[in-house]
Amino acid sequence: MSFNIDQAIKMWRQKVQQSKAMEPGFLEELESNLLDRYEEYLIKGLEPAEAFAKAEAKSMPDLPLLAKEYDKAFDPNYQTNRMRNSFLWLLPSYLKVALRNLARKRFYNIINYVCLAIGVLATTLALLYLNYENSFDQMIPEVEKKYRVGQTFRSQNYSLLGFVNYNSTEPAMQLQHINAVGSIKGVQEACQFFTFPEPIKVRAGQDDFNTTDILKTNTPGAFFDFFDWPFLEGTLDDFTENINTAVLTESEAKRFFGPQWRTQDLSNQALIIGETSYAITGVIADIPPNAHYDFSIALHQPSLDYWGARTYVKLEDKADPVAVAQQMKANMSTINTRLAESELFGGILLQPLTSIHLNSNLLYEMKPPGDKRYLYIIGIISAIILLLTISNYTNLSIAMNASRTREIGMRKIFGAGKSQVAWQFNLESIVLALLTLPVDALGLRALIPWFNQFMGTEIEASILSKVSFWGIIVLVTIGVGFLASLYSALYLAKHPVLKLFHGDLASKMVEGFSTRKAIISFQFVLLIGLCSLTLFVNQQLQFVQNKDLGYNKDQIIYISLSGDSSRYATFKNEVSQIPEVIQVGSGSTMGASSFNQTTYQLTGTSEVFDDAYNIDLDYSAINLLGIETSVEDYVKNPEMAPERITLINQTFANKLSRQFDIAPEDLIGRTIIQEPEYTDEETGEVGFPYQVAGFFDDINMFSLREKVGPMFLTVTKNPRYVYWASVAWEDASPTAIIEKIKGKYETLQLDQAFNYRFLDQNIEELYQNEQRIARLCIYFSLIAFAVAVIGLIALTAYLTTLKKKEIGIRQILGASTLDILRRFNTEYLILLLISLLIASPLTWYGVSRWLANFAYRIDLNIWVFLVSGAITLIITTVSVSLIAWKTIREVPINALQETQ
Amino acid sequence: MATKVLVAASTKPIVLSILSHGENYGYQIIKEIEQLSNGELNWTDAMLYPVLSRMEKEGLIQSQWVKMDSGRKRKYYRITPEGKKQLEKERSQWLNVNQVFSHLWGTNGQGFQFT
Repeated sequence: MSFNIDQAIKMWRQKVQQSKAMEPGFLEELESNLLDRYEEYLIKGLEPAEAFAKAEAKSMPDLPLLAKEYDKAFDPNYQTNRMRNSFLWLLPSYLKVALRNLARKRFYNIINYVCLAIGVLATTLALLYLNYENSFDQMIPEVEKKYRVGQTFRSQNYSLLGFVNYNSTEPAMQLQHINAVGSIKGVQEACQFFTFPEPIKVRAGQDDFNTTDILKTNTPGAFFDFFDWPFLEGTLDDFTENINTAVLTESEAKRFFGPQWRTQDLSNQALIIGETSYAITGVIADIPPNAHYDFSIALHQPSLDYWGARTYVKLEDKADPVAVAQQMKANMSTINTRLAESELFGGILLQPLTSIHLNSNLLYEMKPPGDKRYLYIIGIISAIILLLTISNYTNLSIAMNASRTREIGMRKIFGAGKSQVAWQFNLESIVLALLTLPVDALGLRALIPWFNQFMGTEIEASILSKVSFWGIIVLVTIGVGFLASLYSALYLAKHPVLKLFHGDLASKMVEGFSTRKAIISFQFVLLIGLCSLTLFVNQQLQFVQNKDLGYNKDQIIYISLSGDSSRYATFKNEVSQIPEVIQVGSGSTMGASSFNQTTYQLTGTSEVFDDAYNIDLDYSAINLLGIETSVEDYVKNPEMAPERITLINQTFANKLSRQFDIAPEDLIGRTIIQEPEYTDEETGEVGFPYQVAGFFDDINMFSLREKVGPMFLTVTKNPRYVYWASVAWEDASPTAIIEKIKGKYETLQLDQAFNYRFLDQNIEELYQNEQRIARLCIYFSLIAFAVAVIGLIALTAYLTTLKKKEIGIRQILGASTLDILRRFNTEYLILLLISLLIASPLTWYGVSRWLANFAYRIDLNIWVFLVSGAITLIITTVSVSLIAWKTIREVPINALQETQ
Repeated sequence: MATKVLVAASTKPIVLSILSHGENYGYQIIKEIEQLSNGELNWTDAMLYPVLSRMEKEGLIQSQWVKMDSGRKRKYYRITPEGKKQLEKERSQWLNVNQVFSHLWGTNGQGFQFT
């Protein structure tokens, strides 16, 4: 085809004319320029087509730039015009239109409003929770240089450092111990203390108070330097100068001396604990809930009555904690000769203070540590609700705004650009989202106390009056509003002007595979995922609660006794007289946190293991707990039994039998040496020998997260010392039995607080986190379903108004109500099946990772997914049908008469 | 290549100077500048035409559509007395700048050493 210059010019004109600000005069001049170039290329000998192409390329590099240059050169008000087109200049107009539109479709906008409020509320709550969990110990000054010192012993990690002679370490030795830690290279300061969680009787004035969490320290100055708990009354010097001094927290001061404690001169007062009197030297503010330990009273004592101490160090600038830990290990002989010489000592752990709450899994923590996984779960669940909210809004607004095409067309004709049209829609949803803020503020005020109680957190309601907090919330809200409208804004803004006036956009939305369906599928995926997650978590919890632990856990109560055999004998005698009491025993408590293991060696073999637990029970305790043993005769008739025997559990027997190829029954009579690394200097005896007298069935003494390990059970007839007595009872309420036991306990005239624990409560507390998460899952699932259903109802309601005529015609042609309902529901069924296929593997993966934490767990059952799908289906179908039915009931002729 | 700022500052005096030698049209102006600067000043059409319009609005130049023998029209620009005055002002300013550089760098800029 030959080149036609006139045709080429015509096409070029068309192209150029699309640009704005292209006035006719300019166009002609540009055309003349183009032809000048073209002619010159022709003279140079180029073919016409090529010459034109080159000239066009050269003379027309950038149309928008050209238009802008003309604009600049031609219009004296160029700058002002630019401003007038800017977002801020147009904001009042956007706002006016936004408010009009919000008022127009009131029903649908109220629904959007409710969903947005729920979404923002859920997100805010999750943010508050995550913030709280991450704020632990941040209030301690220079926290980034501060570390807790722990030790590795056998294969276990301890959150404290042991003393050289355990509990009998002399005061001077304890101080030498901490001074040696402080003089390690790289350590600037070191302090030690210990807290005692169990209630202790404290006498203040004329009254006795049961007081928990008493802290004892023999490095008082370094302790307060390190943690910097602020003094409200008194000074640190008074506390450090003399021993047997005490510092109270504000709430303890209130409890002991009344709300007017400030008006009394507390320095004249003393606290009497046991035999010792402690002079009160000060009052400090309460320890913040987000510190990794808590205490009510700090006592300055010459020594700590425990086998080790919580040890903390502040490192010098730029000191490397790993190097310091190695230094400590290398110089252990200066700190603790016992550890230095022990082959079981594995090294020193330096934990950054800020990582204790979420990243610590050491023995004997002071507060139950947080769990990062639950942070993720809560984050994910709130994200799901937020996504549901956003997708709801998107879906409903696509449908609703589809009828606003003429408005958009007019805007475009008056010169609005794409971004300006898009901003209008964004602004509408941002305004709506911002309008939820008062509801959110009220909601948070009501929810925070409930949430704290529910999750065991102490988020302070005062955060609601902080400007920075609301700054973040406003930003989040704007973000939610923006995201919610993003799709519909872009979708509507991109349509060319002419199409906007054809007015077929609204009805087009109803047919075919649309974004709307994709969003609904996405919502189904979230719902099925959340629903099956909830079902699985609750199933596992049910499993945990119903699993046979190997002992009875109901109607058994532990009473703290801390006394020798005669005290126990008296107690047992007294309490046994209570008619409802079945039996009284003593020994290790079930439902405990795990504790230290011991090393052992089967005589006649050379291997040493370090994974056994040592527990002790008397014959009565075995009987009342219902633990199955191979020595039933002894358990039933303790009078006939030997004074002391050792049993090993099934797991232990199996392990030894496998390891050394011995039949389990042949283990009876064999001796196992505990702590074979120890040799008695006087007798030369190695370790502590235990002769196996029989077996007992495995018991889940700790949480089901942990696998049952080898256990030694020392059974005694008359225990030498009893920490906890166990009481089994029947036919009485827990409160009634407590009252009766307390009455007997008080007749013993013991100088200590009455302290008890129910066994089933012990066990329940092991799964407190899981229980919270399980219930939270249920609540959030309900909210999520509510949000999704509201969204679906609104969407169906809107779409049925568009389909009114279709329904009318179908009815006239003889379709039954059921036929029409089926038409409405079928499309959701297909989407639901697709969603089920997407959601199942994702949830499967997530839940199996969570379950991997449990040594004993449920099998993942595929039925759960089908049930979740079915629940989603039923809720969807019911809500869709109800809404559609409302339209169907109308007389068809009315629908057909309406002019749309 | 000259910097954007320099090009923007020099456009007006260069156009006035070219037109002071007689009337001329857009494409020819672009070509002349290219030749005079050995291709260093490469003006685009998008830049020149808006500048010409603005200068005409300011009364520095005048334009006229001229019908050529081929029947095609071309817009010719001519300098006005106002434009000549403006050119004289610009010229003395640029010469001053030029003089400073001449003193600093030597007449042709070859004698200058960066130390």
